[in-house]
Formats: sequence, C-alpha cells, structure tokens
Amino acid sequence: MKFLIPLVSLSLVFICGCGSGGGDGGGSRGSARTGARVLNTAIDLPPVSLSTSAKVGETISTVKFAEATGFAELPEGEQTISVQSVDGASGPFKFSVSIQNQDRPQILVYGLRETNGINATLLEFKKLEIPDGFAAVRIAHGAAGAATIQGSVGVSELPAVVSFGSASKYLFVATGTTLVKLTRSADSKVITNQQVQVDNRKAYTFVVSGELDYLVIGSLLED
Amino acid sequence: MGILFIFLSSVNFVYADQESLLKDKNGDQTVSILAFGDSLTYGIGDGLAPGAVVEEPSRESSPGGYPKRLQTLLGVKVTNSGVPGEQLVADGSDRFVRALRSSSADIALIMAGSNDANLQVSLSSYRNSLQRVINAASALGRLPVLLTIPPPGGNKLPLRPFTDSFTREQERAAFFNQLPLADIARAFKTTCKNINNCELLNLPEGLHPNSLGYDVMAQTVSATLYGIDIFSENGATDLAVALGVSPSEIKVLPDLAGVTKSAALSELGNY
Repeated sequence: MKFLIPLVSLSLVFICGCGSGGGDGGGSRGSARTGARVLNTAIDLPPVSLSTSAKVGETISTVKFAEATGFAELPEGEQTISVQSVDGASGPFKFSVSIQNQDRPQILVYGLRETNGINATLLEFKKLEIPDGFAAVRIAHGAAGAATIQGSVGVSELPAVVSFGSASKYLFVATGTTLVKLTRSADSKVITNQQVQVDNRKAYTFVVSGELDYLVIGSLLED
Repeated sequence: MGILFIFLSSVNFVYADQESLLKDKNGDQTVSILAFGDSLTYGIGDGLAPGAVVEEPSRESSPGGYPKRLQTLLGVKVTNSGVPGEQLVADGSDRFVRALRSSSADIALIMAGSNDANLQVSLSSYRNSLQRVINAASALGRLPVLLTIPPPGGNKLPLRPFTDSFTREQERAAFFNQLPLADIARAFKTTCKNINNCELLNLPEGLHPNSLGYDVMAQTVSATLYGIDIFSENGATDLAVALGVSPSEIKVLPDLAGVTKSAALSELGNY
C-alpha cells in the first residue's frame, strides 16, 4: 500500500559571486567539443530526434519545439547526421558532414505540417575569429508566416533579408546588452524586440520559432 | 564567495513510486490550473442525475463540470476555459494561446475534439492542431496534460468512431511528447455498465456527461495529477488517501484485466 507523504522541501541555493558576471544571454552550451544541435522551430511538429551514421541505432538528442538545448556529442570524421520527428512522419533529413577541429553543426527544422510541410537546413558551422570586445550574432529564421525578415542586432543592420528556413551571416556586435529587432519584410510587422546579453568573443544564433499571428519565440543560443 | 540562501519552496506530495504533477512551475508560490476545452469542459449537462431523460441539456448553465470539482478536490485554483461548440482546429488553438497568456496557470489541461468529431474534421488537421497547443503550452512554460474524450452513446453513438480516432491521437501525442494523459475515455469504459448507453452521460442525448460523469472525470484527472494509476488494483484507495476521502467515494472502477487499454497505446509501447 502506498502512503501519501507530505514533504516540506527545503531548497538550498548557492549563488556564486565569482566568475565573469552576466548571463549567457539565454544560450546553453553542451560540454561536447564537437557536437550538433537541432533548432526545432516548427509549431505543429512533435519533438525531433538527431542521429549520426557514426553511432548507428542511437538517438543522440531529442529536441522539442523552441527548446534551447546544448550540443549533443559527435565523433570527429565524415558522417551523415539525420533529423526526424519522433513519430516518424517528418524526415529523415540527412546531411553529410565532416566534423573536425571543434566543428558544431546546427540543423534548422522549420515549416508547418498543416500547410507546406516540414523541411530542414544545415547551418554554416565553421569556427569564427571574433575581435576582442565583440560577440558574433546571426539570425536563424524559422517563424512561419514571413517569407523573409529583416532587422538589426544592436546598431548593426542585417545586410540582407533572411529567408524562411535560413540564417543570416554573423554580425559583430559590442559585448553586453543588445537589442534584437526583427520585422516581417512584407509589411514591417514586428516579430520580436528582445534584449539579450552577449559576451566577449562568443558566437550566438538567435533563432525565431513558431508562427506569426499565433506564437513566436525568440531564443539566443550560444554556438 | 558563495552566498547561501535557504527558503521554503513548496510542499511536494510524493508517493512511494510516483510524484505529483502539482508543482509551482512559474515561481508565483501557488499552483493553479487552466482547464481548456469545449462544452465538456464548460460543464454542459452538469446538475442532471443519472436516469433523467435529457434530449438536449440546457446551455444556459454557469460553468461547472469537472474543473469545478477538481478545484474542490485538489484545493488549487482551476480556471474553467471551456467554450461550448468550439472546434480545436478552427478557433480553439488560437484561443488557447490567448487564454494561456492571460493566465498564470502552471498546468494546462487540454480536452478538445468533440466538436471536431461532430464535424468530422480530418485526423491530420486534428493531430496538427493538438500538437500546436502542446508546443505552445510547453514554450510558454506550462505543463500540458491531455484528456481523452468520453465515448459518446445514446443518440450520439454514430460519433464514436470519430471520437475514438481522436482519442488515439491524444494517446499518440502524449506518448511522443512524453506528457501525462488523463484517460477519461478509459474511465468511462471501465465504469459504465453499458458503454453504448452509459449512465455517466445524459441520455438519450449521449454526448454530455451528467453529474456522475463529471465526478468520474474529475477523479480521473485528480489521479493523473497525483501520479496515481487510477485503473490499477489499488488506484481507488490511493486516490482516496490522496484526496482525504473515503474509498467508497471513488467512482472510477479499475481495469484489472487491462481490456480497455487502447490498442494504440500497446502499439506505441513497441515504438
């Protein structure tokens, strides 16, 4: 027989005063030196799983919609990485990659099942040289309902519109708090207006997920 | 140098092997629930006893149904966000986001599909809409809990194949998203004496539960939120202890042979 046990829990929280201070801007970074991450931006898609031909039969990561995850570890070398919805109905989307020297590819999963279907893009993932005093930020566009978006990160305007299912080039922005402003190109409808924290010589992907006029989530993830 | 903070965070009700889902997710020091759905959430047909002849239950009533009972049983705030006649695929999923944004609920109970079944919307559209609301709830920091639909009977018996299909979609969604499922359909199947003319429904109308039916729904949801398998041999006793009531007050019957467990769930177990 089971018994109900009311437990009054005491939570102990240690806040460390050491370190560089400041947040990571919402980013989350796995411990893997080489790894991959899925950006699941499709609002009507179940979680997606990531696997690699280098680890046959193993799911190395499962990612929910708009979930900020770290990088799942990948071995170095040539391999095919695959993304598929956990119900098996979307994908697999396969990408051949050569992983070396701390490469960490990201796959943007986007679209709507109900209308045009789901697709996936492998985002550029070579390591950047970032000047001191700056961070690098790019925009990954997965918000359905906007064929292209435009905007700025801090004082830097995006040099070109960003198409649905793609990412912009990296912009170098001054470290600290910065404002990400994005609008739909067609009618300047505001998609997000979000302050984020970026740290010195770090690279980030700001990903917009969901669907305009329903729910859009903006997340800054450390690359 | 570290600074130590100690604070009283919450009261967690823990069972021998399962844990309550009633947790303060948003840190506002309270646990609250949003019950989202259609007329079966609003509580149409409530207040009518088994045996009453009901051709069409009144739609003039105030909200009641299982959310009101749940609030009493659990002692937490439960907001009734049921809109009679609403389809999930039409207006429901949009309203869901608005309702969540205007609520501080930690848990979103989702029971929708009766009107979609009535209008025979496609299974894929229902599946996609259900996934949209699940994703929206999770992205907004709420715990989605899915509720299956009571099987229609009486005059609405022809709707059964459609509601059964939607119930299987809810089971699939719970499985693939690893979410809790309050299996109302199974509770009706174990508890009704005759599922085609179930005494938990207003008859002969056959779609909306009566007072007894809403009791069964509230108890089934309570068990899910407490992490209790209401269909197990000890389920009713465990729930009675959790709720502080007599076991004789638990109206949901167990499913000892497992015969009413969905075939879909068994298949998914092999996924």
